[in-house]
Amino acid sequence: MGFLFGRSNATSSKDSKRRTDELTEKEKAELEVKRQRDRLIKYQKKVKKKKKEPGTLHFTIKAAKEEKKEKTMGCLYNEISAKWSIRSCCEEVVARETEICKQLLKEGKKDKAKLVLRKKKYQQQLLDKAQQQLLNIEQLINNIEFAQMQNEVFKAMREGTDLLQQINSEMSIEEVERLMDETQEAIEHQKVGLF
Amino acid sequence: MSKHSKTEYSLPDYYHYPPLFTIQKVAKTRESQLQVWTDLIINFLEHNHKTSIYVEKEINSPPFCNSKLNRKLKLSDMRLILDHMQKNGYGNWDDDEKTVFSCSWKKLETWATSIYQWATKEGQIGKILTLYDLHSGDAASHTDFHGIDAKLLLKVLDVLEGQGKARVYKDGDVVDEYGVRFFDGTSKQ
Repeated sequence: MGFLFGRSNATSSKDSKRRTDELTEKEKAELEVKRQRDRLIKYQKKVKKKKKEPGTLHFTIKAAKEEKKEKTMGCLYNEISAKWSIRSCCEEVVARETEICKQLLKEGKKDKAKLVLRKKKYQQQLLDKAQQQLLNIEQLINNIEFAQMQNEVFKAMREGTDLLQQINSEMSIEEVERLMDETQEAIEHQKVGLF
Repeated sequence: MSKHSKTEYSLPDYYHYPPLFTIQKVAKTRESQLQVWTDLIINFLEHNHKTSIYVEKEINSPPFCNSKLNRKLKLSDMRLILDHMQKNGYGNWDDDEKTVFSCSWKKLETWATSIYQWATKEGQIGKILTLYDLHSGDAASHTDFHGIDAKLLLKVLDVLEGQGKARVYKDGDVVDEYGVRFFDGTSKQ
């Protein structure tokens, strides 16, 4: 059965059995709703995974349809990288200042040590602020992602509802009642015919 | 040749037998050696859910290289074994230079039958499904093709399409989003 693995142009001999049924408009709409459901499931799984890893920063840039959205996300991404590098700079400085302080105390230079300690405190404050802003930005990105997802769900539900309405409209109440009456009549006819 | 249990993966005893890594000259021995290697590789693929082998990269790692024995396959021998696998329907070369081998631990026909049987049993004939639904959906969660790689799934569905049992609707770039519809056994032309 190795030939079944052959490249596409080798399957022409099998084409006679291939079905060429195309999708109707309704079926296309149905498929689109199912695709949206799949995307939602994938998104859910991704969020669950994020929850299990609280310490790490995950951010994804979804392929936004409008260019504006993409630019905004791009800016946010740059913000995060900038803040992240500030944070790592600060951390290094704090560590270095602590070392210098210890050295100065050993040498007995108390005033200079105090100065260094104040510097260290200031750096630590900067660090905390950067951390807070990082958290804010991350929250913003998550909210944007969620809003995008909700928007897509809304569109899919709109399409699905339209489809449902279309199907229902094909069976109007009057027609159903008429059909039931005709069936009843036919049955009565049959009963009379038996005598 | 010992059979491996599905729950645990362990290399069989003959893996530590040096001659395994040299392709034998005698035709009959070579045939059975190639078969042994095929089984070994198939089990490795199944255990790791692998669907492609990058020849030049993976020749230095198990199972093609046994660090305990300090033996590994020659590049040309590895290609010979993979050729044998292709002949038996377990995969095919992606390129003429034979650097990447797309593979499957079951024959495509086996997967195809498995999926079609599931579709018939679950009443999925005539309905539109997405590929994602087939490989990761709830309805197919207890099947043997659950978690299958999307590209491999596409190949399997192509087989079914050739048999007139399915039709794949390939719109867009995302393989997961392709639609598929199964038809019942009676062909309609």
